[in-house]
Amino acid sequence: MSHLDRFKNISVIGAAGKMGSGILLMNVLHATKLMHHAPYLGQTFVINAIDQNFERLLGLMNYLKEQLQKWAEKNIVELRKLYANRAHLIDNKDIIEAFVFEALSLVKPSINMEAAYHSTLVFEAIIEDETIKSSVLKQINDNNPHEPFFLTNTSAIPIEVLNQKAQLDGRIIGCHFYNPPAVQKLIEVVELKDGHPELSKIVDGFARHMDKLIVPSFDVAGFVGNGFFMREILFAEKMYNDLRKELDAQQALLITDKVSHELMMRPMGIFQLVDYVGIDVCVLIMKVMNTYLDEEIVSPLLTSLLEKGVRGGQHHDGSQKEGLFRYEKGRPVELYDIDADKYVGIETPALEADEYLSVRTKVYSWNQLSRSKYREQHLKETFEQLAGEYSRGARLLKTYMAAMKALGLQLKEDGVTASTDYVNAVMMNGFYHLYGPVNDYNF
Amino acid sequence: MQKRVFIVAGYNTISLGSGRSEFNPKKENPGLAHYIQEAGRNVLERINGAEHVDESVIGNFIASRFNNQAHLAAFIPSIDEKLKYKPSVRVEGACASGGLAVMTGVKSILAGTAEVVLVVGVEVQNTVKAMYGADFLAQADYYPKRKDGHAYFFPGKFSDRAGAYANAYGEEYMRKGLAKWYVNCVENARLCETAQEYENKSDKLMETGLLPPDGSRFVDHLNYTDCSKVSDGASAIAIVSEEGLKRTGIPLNEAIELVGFAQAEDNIMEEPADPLELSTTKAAVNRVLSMAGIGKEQLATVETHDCFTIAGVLATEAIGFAAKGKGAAYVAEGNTARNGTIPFNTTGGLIAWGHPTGATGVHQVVTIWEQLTGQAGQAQIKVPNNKPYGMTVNMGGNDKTVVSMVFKQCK
Repeated sequence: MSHLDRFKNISVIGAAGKMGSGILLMNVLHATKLMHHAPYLGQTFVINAIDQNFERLLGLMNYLKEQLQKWAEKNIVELRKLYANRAHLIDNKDIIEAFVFEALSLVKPSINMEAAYHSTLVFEAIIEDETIKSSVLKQINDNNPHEPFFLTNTSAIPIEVLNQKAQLDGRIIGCHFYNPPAVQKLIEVVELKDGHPELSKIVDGFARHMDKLIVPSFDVAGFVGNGFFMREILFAEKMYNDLRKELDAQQALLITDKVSHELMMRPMGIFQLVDYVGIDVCVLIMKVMNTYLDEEIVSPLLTSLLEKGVRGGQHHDGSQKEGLFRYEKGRPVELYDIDADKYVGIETPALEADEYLSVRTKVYSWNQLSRSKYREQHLKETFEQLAGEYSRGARLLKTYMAAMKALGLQLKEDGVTASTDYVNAVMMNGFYHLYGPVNDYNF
Repeated sequence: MQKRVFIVAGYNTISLGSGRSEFNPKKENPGLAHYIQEAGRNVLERINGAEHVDESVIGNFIASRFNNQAHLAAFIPSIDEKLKYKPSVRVEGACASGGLAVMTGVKSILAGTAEVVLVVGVEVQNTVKAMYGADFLAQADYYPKRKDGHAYFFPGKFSDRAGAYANAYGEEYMRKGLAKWYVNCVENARLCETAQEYENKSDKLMETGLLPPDGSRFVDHLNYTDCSKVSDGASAIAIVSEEGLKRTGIPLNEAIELVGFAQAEDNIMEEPADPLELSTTKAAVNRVLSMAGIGKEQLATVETHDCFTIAGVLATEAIGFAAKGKGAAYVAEGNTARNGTIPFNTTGGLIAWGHPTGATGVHQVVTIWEQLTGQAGQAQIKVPNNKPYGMTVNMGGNDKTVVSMVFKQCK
């Protein structure tokens, strides 16, 4: 069986979830590309979309239809060439409708795990729980006569643990997509030491077809992405606690967020990112990492928020749920007051935070820099100016930048990655940072 | 001409679409009736009432697809009750629908069936995304060719012309001409409040215009900036006889006189014999200048159908300002800029004022009327005493239907 043959019958487990739906969409697009070219012309492709209940699957099919339509509209130039031999498809509209229909026809929604028993490739994107994951993988493997390959989207659980518990004989690889998988270019790939050699070739081919960037990570809990992100949360919490010694909770939270957002010239601050990922998800990932590492990775702040029912994360339509901030049209408009257990307007604390930071250097926004072809030059000059400035903001930035650099170096020292270049690549492609944490800026 | 024909009381709505701050593609935008009524009522006000109108003509390309609406002639009475039961006709000739509408009105005056004709051109295109609009607009060509055409059908057609031009005369040479055409258009549009690119503040126009095209995303030889806008809008004017002029009470110096008009048609089923030439445009222009009894040197300004920048460059050759293959240099050297030898498209043309397809031919006439009567506001150019003429060139399809007119100042 060739690598590509394996894509003729695949299953996505947890297909209606945030990550699963994106992984499913990519597989549908991948299969539609394959089925239009020799040797797969006219052959049958099956993509099982497996999830817990029909309501979720119905939502998934609506999402898929919408996304496929958008993709087809955006790629109509390419699609017209693909459908050139279909004489009756003339207008763009005809071609787009045909494509969406054909692509949706590949997907077989199901609430039964049995659907995966005929698959040769299984993408897993269920809850970040080692017991549940390994049990599902084992069930499929035990009942599937095709010795399927498993691609797990775990962002923290060591792959060897899943391999052992599910008794997969090395037929598993970590394939950590970033949210949203269809948009984000990055895939963090974690190979087993003695894994099946064909697996990495399959992932490489898939990534190449889908124009994705692969960054390798060693099989250490949290890998590069969460290995960095979770530890950054802990550092930010420490900065927040230090600031609380002189400021109230709202100000401390907002100042930490502003340093990691505006002064670091990132797309969002650390606490906004926690909301985006989900406070519950972050706590879960820390718990997993804590299990496998000789290091205490616990956030009292996030744990207490979770106990109060403050969870963050996103609604099905992609809008942001309430977390450390309350959002309107994707922008924070209120801030959670931990002491008072309620949301308060963000404007006054924001002004107070700016006053506290007292930064005089003109700092570019992430939006400005991400579009600028002089980005490198602007970053260098801005950091140089900030380094020479005496303000609380510049001091906090210096501390934050140094801590991030140390985190990146630590990942290499701890054997999570072979190179700090990979750390930078993950943070720049998976988190949209404009520069990597291990850098030579003058701080 | 056996009778004097005048143009008065021109009016343009804004050209709505990307670039205008009022435009939000996710919200409901004004529809056909809004534009027809706004443009029509403003003309009626200027000619002192609908009672003076004998007939109306409405130019529109393809509302039946963009708006699911046909039978546009029956929208004319919605402009004013006094137009009810008066004759009204809708004409269509793809993007030359507006020019044909004006010409139809002119013929009514010449035939003596009317002394005052209201002409409205309208199109509302932002009802669908561009890739679906491309399907509708492709009907301006021979439909059996659609299957083999580009996803963006007309950009594909004119990209083929640009490719042939680049192949014959050099890519870089052509690109300089196209970029300069784009720059001129946006700079002119910045002077016209109704233009779609009125708010364009870019200080890198030339840099943008010079970017190499990316065929994997769009077409092989043109950029988005080489294309006319997707626009909603209407333009309207009144065509009057000498009797009509008296009836409406408009002074002669607020009118311009039509001294020549020509229409040329080519076979839609055939590809252009020479992609380097707008042969139908050339035929129409030769005829209109002959009818007007003037040479091109006597023109103070030209409004030409720059649906693509390459069409603008080719028009300078078809009209005879530049020899074949020399149009790109003629444009690049600044001859067609507002302070050049012959200012073209002084409010931005189709590239930057906008291209509400069925309205464009009327808009061109309104612009010439504004310039020759000194009512072009900030966009006003100097009209020399020895050059009291302005010309329009309105093209439908790939140089298949062309309407050209020459107007003269009235003093």
